[in-house]
Amino acid sequence: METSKRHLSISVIYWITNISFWIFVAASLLAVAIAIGLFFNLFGDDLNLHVGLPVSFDLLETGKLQLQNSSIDVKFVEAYGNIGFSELPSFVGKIYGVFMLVVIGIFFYIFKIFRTFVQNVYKGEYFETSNFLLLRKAGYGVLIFWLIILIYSILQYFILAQNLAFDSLELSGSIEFHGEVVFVALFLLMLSQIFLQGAKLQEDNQLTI
Amino acid sequence: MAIIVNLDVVLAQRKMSLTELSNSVGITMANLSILKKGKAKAIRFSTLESICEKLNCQPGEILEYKPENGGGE
Repeated sequence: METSKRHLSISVIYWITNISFWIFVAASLLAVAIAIGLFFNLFGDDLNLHVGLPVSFDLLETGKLQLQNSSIDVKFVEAYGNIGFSELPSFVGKIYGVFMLVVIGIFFYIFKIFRTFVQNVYKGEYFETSNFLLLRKAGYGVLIFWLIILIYSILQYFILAQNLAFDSLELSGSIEFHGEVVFVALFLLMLSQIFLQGAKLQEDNQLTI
Repeated sequence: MAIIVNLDVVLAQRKMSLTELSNSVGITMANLSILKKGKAKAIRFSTLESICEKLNCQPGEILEYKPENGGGE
């Protein structure tokens, strides 16, 4: 094992990851309870479900921007937001319940893998085959996560956004493809290959007498 | 691997144990054991020099090339 001094960034990431992980676990338990409640319609009309819209919308509003002693007319061009159900249809609750469970499950899987990877690095185990496997799993996990949020966005676009009507705003834009998530997944897969090469080099180095 | 390490043969000829060699050349027993069993992927010139110096032999006595699967020269 490496005995070199641990860099401050590793310690910071280690503690942030650990604290966030346990906060996430607590939040997930609550979210799972809500998801089950949604699926079995346990909340009735008591739950005011807020659902994020997959498209941006134009508010038909104008305003003033005070800048350098002058007032400039501005128009609200684009915003993102949620819609709240005052009466939640039971089939919508079922869909969101299942969706929440799947997303929590996958996110938990990715987070757990990432935490194990950070713990390995914290212990000084950098170029190990286990780290290559962890990063590869995380990469594929993020790709699956992207697929699910893409499906979610498409469904929301065609089921919700296309059928929404408001007096003072116009829905605009198209479905978001969340390219940044794919980039993260590909970056993780690329990192996993770097760690694989590192593990091979480390093995060669250890077996050089 | 086609390179055979004959360290055990040379040690036997010199009537020296692996522990003695380890103590005199400053290479750990674990590393010498890896070398002796032929599991090493490479050997440093400095290591080879130390071993040859202590065993009073040539590198060719410790390392031997044997083609695999009957091929080669």
